[in-house]
Amino acid sequence: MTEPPRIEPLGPRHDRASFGCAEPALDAYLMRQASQDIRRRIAQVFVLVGDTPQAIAGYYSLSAESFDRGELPEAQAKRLPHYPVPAAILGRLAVDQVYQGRRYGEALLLDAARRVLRASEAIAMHALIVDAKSDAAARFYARYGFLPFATNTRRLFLPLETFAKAGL
Amino acid sequence: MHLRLDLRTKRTLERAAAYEGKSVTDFVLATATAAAERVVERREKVVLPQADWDLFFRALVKPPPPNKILKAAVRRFRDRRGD
Repeated sequence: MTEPPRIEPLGPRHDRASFGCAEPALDAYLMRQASQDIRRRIAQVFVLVGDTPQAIAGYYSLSAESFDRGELPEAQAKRLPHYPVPAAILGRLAVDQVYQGRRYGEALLLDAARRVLRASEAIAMHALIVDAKSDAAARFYARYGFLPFATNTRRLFLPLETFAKAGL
Repeated sequence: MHLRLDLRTKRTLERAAAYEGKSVTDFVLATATAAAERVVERREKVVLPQADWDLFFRALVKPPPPNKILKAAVRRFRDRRGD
């Protein structure tokens, strides 16, 4: 039995400079933007701890947005419910190349989904939305049942109810 | 929050606050908060194209059952955590 991966909020002890995944933009975010986003409460960032307590094997960032539809002809608008739908955004998820092949991407995804599911007990939230940086990343999410949007197939979502039904 | 104001701005704020029957602090706070809320809403509210909204809304009303891969992943996740 191996130790379960430890996932905790990004803090000053974590070595952000050594992190390297396949997407330079995701390395740069961790290095330059993540702490500022946390301070400004724009996003929360969680890291999967690697072989030392300082090492970052992977990370994800979560934020919240509300989703609405555009204007409709009045007749149609009356028939359909119309309110913004609050949802959580998994804006970034990355695994260091040294730690590939350990299902850490999956561990990060489910940890994020679980946190959002718990949060939704206190604050209404209906879906987890992911932004994939590549088509390969989009396929990763699609395997777990995430549904792509029609106009942007790199943005996918899954209702939180589906995670709840899976027993998360 | 300390603000450095030129005299003209200060006078304008005082006059506007007086018309509204508010103190300058309350007036500045109320108008700035309203403007901030508009910015936050613009940045954090996503308006979906019709096709996306239909897809999204239908899935929320009738959530798809979890597939085998998700169910297996949840089992692994719970095992690892010792749930």
